[in-house]
Order: sequence, then structure tokens, then C-alpha cells
Amino acid sequence: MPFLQLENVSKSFGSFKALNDISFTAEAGDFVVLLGPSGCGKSTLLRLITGLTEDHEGEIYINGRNVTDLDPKDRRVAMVFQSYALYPHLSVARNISFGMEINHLPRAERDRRVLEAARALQLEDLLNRLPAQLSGGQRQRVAIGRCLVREPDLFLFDEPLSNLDAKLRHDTRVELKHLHQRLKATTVYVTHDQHEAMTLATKVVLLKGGEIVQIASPTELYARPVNRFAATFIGSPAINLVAGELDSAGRFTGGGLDVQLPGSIFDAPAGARKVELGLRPENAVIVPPEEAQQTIAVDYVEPTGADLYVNGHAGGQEVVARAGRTANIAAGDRLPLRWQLDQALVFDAESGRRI
Amino acid sequence: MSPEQQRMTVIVAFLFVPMVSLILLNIYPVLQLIYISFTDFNGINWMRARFVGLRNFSDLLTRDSELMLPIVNSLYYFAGSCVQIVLATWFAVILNMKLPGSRLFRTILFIPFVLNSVAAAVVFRQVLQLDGTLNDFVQLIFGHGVKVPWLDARQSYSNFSLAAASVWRYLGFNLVVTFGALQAIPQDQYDAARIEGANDWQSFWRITFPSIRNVLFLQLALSVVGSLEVFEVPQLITYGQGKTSTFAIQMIQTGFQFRRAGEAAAMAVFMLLLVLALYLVTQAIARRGNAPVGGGGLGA
Amino acid sequence: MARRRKLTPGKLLVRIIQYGSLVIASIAVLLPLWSTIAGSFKTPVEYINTSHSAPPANWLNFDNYRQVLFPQTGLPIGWAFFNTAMIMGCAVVLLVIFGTMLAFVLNRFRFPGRRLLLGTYAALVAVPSILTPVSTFQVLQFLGLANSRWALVALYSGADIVSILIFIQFIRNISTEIDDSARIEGASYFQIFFRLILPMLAPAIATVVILRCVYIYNDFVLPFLYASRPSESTVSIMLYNFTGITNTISQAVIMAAVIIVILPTLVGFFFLQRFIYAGITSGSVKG
Repeated sequence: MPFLQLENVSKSFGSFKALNDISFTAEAGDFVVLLGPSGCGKSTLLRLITGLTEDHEGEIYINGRNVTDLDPKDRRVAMVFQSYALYPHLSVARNISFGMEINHLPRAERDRRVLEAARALQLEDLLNRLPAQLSGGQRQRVAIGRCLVREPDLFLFDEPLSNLDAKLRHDTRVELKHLHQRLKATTVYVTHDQHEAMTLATKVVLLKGGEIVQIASPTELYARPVNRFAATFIGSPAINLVAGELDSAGRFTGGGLDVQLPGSIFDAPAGARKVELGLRPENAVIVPPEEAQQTIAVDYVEPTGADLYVNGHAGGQEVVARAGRTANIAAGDRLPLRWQLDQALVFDAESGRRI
Repeated sequence: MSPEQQRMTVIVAFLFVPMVSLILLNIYPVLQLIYISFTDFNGINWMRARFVGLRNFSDLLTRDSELMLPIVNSLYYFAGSCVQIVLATWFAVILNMKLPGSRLFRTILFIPFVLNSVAAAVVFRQVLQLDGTLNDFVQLIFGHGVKVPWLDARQSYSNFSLAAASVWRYLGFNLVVTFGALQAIPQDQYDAARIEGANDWQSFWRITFPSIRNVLFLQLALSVVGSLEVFEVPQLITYGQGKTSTFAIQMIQTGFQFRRAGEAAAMAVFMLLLVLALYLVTQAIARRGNAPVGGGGLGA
Repeated sequence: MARRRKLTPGKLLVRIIQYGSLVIASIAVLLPLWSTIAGSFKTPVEYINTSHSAPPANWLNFDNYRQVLFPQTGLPIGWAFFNTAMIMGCAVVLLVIFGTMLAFVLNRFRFPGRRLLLGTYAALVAVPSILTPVSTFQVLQFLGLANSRWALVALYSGADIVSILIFIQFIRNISTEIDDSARIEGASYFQIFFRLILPMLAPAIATVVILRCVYIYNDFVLPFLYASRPSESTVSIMLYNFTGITNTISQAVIMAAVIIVILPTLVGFFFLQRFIYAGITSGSVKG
């Protein structure tokens, strides 16, 4: 039996259906990321797993136990909140041991676990400080420490990095990854940031409007998104979707392109139809004009230091291509491109599903 | 215990005492007051109380000579309150400019408000007494021996003195409240206006005033209610004698001294209805002018 | 070299008017106080013969004070202070305990009648306490509390909208993530309230305590209506009775009594100003 299992979970608030028939599983040691735009229901789902929100359809199993009817405290879970929810009037040590105090663990045991957690998270020098005296990163470690000492079956994170600035966000992400590798704890992590999801997850559950769009590993989500939404959500800058037509021989025309698509990129036999061709900016190659598949008129360029992103248009549609940072491109140029078509994705124009 | 049960337990346990207090000391007295107003209860003996219907109310309204005085006096206090609010706003604006010494002035102007009521009354009273400091000034101007009996309760002008006492006592409160509202206005708005060339007067009317309009309105509403129910100041300075009597003072006298609790209750109910009517009127005006008035904004 | 914008004559005039008005107002406040202080050090004869605002001949004449503190007849005023302190202590403790519980329930839980309850407390603002004595007195008699300090304790610890508002405001700013985190750790609602929320409410509690103490100490109306017996009376009633017997006591002595009464307030005020301003502002501006 998988370590974490959700079966047909649905939740409504009055007439508003927040979650519709959610089912997925995770093995022990998995890092599951619930990814999606605001309002997709991911935080609600997390709260259902913890038991903070009750009254839903479906069943939830953690470590072989059906926890659907259990209180949060009986589910053996621990959660790091968006704002860490540290108790401001208690020291770091008391913050960490709060749960154990509530449950009447003997003093010796409490102290032992606090020390252990403090060592693992490098908090030993801070044990007597108050939360207000800590930096953002330190506070987060205290929040994690509070979870560690409970020795839970499941770790839960609710957008823990959204309150940090960019540099800190990156460093903390790396720390979390290390922690997960060391502890091998089963984790459910909620975020709207696809970058976080890609770097941290072993399994991504992509949600939209309360429903599951796709469950896959990060690389699979990137390479084989199930529909237009998934393709545009993952990857930055977003994938180009070129509208056009596909004929029965697999030839695509549109957006200034007229190319034969390799059969390997199709999952199913395609008939002639209107489609959108998905081309990621990083799949563009700059070539001499005579070899070009598509020539775009450059509108503006965005240097990011390591790369150069060229924003332009062709055939009446907008296109973004990635170039090397030394490329000499300016607004107003005409840029000849070739695309790595074996990486391309084709989506049915009407349904948005990938073909 | 299930979470639902636990929630219920906490709610009931925590609300029990506040509810008992609320019902016994706040809600029930109002209900009983209404009931008593329809009887001739004398405040002591329930056995002899009889139901008299609306007689107390009709008596109240027909004895208009007795009714006029307190209502007119309320106008004195209301006028005083308006002056109070204007002055408080004036000072609040000045203090908000953070000129040197602002802190000190704010403290000084607030002192009368933190004094014990009786003490404050005595302190102010002895200025208005025949041989008090005010008459010293009068004598300075008009010559020795000219003393005005500021607190002569047989004259209606003594109400000015009492209204002044009220202003002296409560100005600090309005000052602090308005000042607090002023502090909440972001400096950026003034900076932007200055760049566009506005002077102090324009800044005040276009930025300051609209921002504190609600607070001022609230103070106005409070002062309307306050003027109707004024009791302390006249009771403490002139004992409510003569022309300085107010509605509340008469009500207390009727109920406790003359032992006509039924009539007193009728007076109280009449007053409550008046306050309620004014309250609704101010709410209506506030809604029109889109100013949230205190009491309606508690939706948590 | 730094340049400062010149003070124009127009601006100077405005400044003069502004400062002038502040000074005049300050004089209006301080002059009566000065007269009181000065008067308290004068002998009865001196008091009658000099202007109220003239300084006393002898600043160390404590006779009047002695008369007030150690009177020949009547109740020593220590009683009044004791009563007031006791009433304040009990009422404030009750108010804090039940006020915070009330705010906690109103803010953290949804239950039928919640809005009605909030509305009732708000509506009570419109019912001034001066109007209900006819019936409130009956209720107090029924409870056996009439004319005693316990009546005051009961009334002072009751539904005070300002205190409740302060608590609710403050609790609103305490993130519910704290509750959630504690619940996951296994805490019951009682534990959440007593171990977490209540300590976190400390600043609000301090404000409420200070505001209420000032209010109780200064209040005249409630003691006058419900506890005017000398043995049960508060400082206000003691002073009120004192000032009513001007036939046998010189005004100078009354001045001394007044100073004794307001001294604690003034001292407390200077140290606790901030709290008082904050309390009034939050209780009214956001109300």
C-alpha cells in the first residue's frame, strides 16, 4: 500500500466546489508538490490532509491508516506554515518543545529531542532567543525543527518560501532539498512557483480549478505535459504556442512556419486539424537565413546575464526565443531561426490536449 | 471529544459569564425600565404598583414647562460640544505639524480629561466662583468690585459656564481621537500636494478634512447623545439647581428623591427613544455620505 | 552651505496664531490647577483674603492636608481609597478574564447568533448608563448587591464596548496559523487560549487595564447612583461629600483634598500617557 493515498477527495464550501474528485498516491520518501495557480485548491487540499479542514468526500490514508475521521493531532503529521506561525512569546527551545509539552512527554525526552533537532538544523546557539530576534531563514528552521521533534509520518509545507526575498528563497530551497535527502521524510509541499516544484519535487500534482491536471515527475511534466495549461505553466519564459494547421501527413503550417513534424512527438495518430505547436524558447537555434524555418521580427531583447531572450513576432503571432548572451541582436532585426522539432509539442487547438 | 463538541464546549464555557452579565445588567434593566414606565411603581413596594398605561408619558408631554428647560439646556451643551470639536480639530491639526513643544501641549490639554470627575468639577468651579480667578480678570477690565455670578443657578446664563466646564473637561478626549485619525493619514499625500503647489489651507480641505470626516462625524453623533443625557457637570458644579437642571438630573430626582419611579422610567424611555431616533438619523446620514459610523462596523 | 527656506511674514503670523492659541488653551487648563494647588497651601483666612491665583504665603503649610488625611470626625479617607482600589482590582481582573474570552470566541469561532451578539454590544453604546438606574437598581437589589461596592464591581466588569473592541482588534492581528499549528501539535482550544492567545494579548490587556483603572477612579455617576453609602464609597463620593460641607470646612482644605485625589492620576498619567492615547484612539477611531 502506498504511504500516502487520497481517494476521490472532494470538498465544497456551500455551492462552491473547491476540490473535485482528487486522487493520487505517494510512496514513502516522496516529495510531492501540489502545484497550481492561485485559487486552484492546493491549500485547501493541504488542509484536508492535515485535518484542519473537515467534512469532505473521499478517503485519506497515511502510512496505512485511514485518517479521514481523525483529528489533526492523531494523524501524526507536522506542518510548516507560510508565515511559520512561531509562538512569539516563547523561546526557540520552548517553541520546538511546545507540542511535546502539550502531550505530557517527560522532560528528559523533550530536551533530548529538542537538542537533536537543534543540532540537525544548526539552531543550538539560538535556543534561548525569541522569534522576533531571528532572521527569516532562522525562523523557518525553527518551524521545521518544531515538525522534526514530533517524528511525524508526513511533513507538510504551505508555500514556505513566498515570504522570503529572491536570494534567501534560493538558499532555503537548497537547504530543504538537502534536508529531504538526509531525512528521506515523506513530504507534501504546496506552491504556485513552478521553479520550486521543478527543483524540489519527486512527484508533481498539477492542479487547476480544483481538479488534477496531471501527476508526473518534474522532467516528465516538462517534456510531456498533458495539455496546453500544463505546458504553459511549466517553464520560464513560457512555451510558445504557434497556432496553425496540421495536415494528415504531419505537416504543420502557421506563424511563418511550414515544417514536417517528426512522428516521434505524437502520442496518438493525428488527423488533419487545427493545432497549436508548442515550441520552448530554449529549443530555438539561430541559423543563417537560407536554413531558417522561421524568421521573426525582433520587438525587444531581454538580457538575463546568462542568456538573451528575444521577443518578436512572425506570421502575426508572438514568439520568444533564447539566444546566447553574446549574440548581437537588437530590436528591429530580422532573426532567422530553426527549431528542435523533436522537442516540440502539438496541442489540439480546441481541446488543448496534447496529441 | 469530537472537534465539534470541543468547539461547543469552549463557546458555551467562555460566553457563559459575559452573557449572564449582559442579560442581567444591560438587557433586562432596559426591558424592566419599559415595563415600569407603564406603572406607578414608587421604587420600593412592588405590591402597590398598578398598571397605568400611557399616563406617565402623557403627563410628561403635557408638563411642557418642565420639559422645555432641560431641552434648552441640552442645546447649550450641544453648542459647547460643537465648539469643543472645532477647537479640538484646530489643535489636533496644529499638533500634527510636529512643531517644537507639541508633545508638551498635547499633554497639558489632555490633563483635564484624566482627572477625577469630582476633582475636575471643583477645580473648574473655583475659577468661576464670585471670588474666583475669572472675576479677577473681570475686575481688571471693569474695575474693582465688579463680580459676575457665573454660577448663579437662578440665571440661565449659568449654563454657559457649565457648558464651558464641559468643554474644559472633554476637549482632550476629542483632541486625542482626532489627532489619532490625523496621524493615520500618509505623509505621501501631503507631499504630492505640495509638489502640485497646494498651500496649507488647500491641503487641509482637500486632504485632511475628507480623511477625518468620519471621525468628526462620529464625535458629533456622540456629542448629540451626550448633550441629551448630560448629568455629571451640572450635578457636580451647581447640583442641578434652578435653571441648570437637565433631563437626566430631573429623572434621577423623580425616581430616587420623589419616589415616582414610574414617571422617572417614562422619562428614561422617552430619552432612549430620542437617542435611538437620533442614532438612526445619524446612521442614515452617514450612509448617504458614505461615512462608516461607530457601531455598524464591527463585522469580524 | 545649507539653505533653509525663509520664514515669510505670512508664515510667521500663522505660526504666532497657532502657538498663541496653544498657549491660551494651556493657560486655561493650568490656571485652575494652579489656583487649586496654591489654595491648598493657604490658611483659611489667607484663602478668603487673597485672589485665588495668588501664591500662598507659605509653601510648606501642610495643615490643610493634615486635616484631610487625619480628620477629627468622620471616616478617614483611607477607606475611600481602599474601596476604590479594591473595586478597581476586582473589576479589572474580571474584565480581562472574561473580556479576552469573549473576544476569543467572537473572533475565532463561527456560531449562530455571533453577529447578533456583536450587534448587541455595539447597540449598548446608545444606552447611556445614566438612564437605566431606575431598573438597574432593582436588579441590584434583587441580587443583594444594592448600595455596596460589589454592585460597582459587577457594573464595572460588565459589557464595556471599548475594552472588547480593543481585544477583538488585537486578536484579529494574531494569525490563525498559530491556532492551526497548535492544533496539529495536539492542543485543545482551552490550551490554545490560555497558553498562546492570552500571553500574546499582553499589550492589549495592559491598555485595557490602564484605561479601565483611569475610568473607574474618575467615575462619579455609578458610585453616586449605586453605592453612595460612605463606608462603601469610592474616592469620587468621598470628595463629593467633602465638598458639600463648605459650611464647616474652609475651601482651602477642600483644595487640599482635591490635590490628594488627583495626585495619583497625574503621576500615573505622566508615566502611562502612551497607553492612554493608544487605547482611546484604537477604541474610537476604528470603532
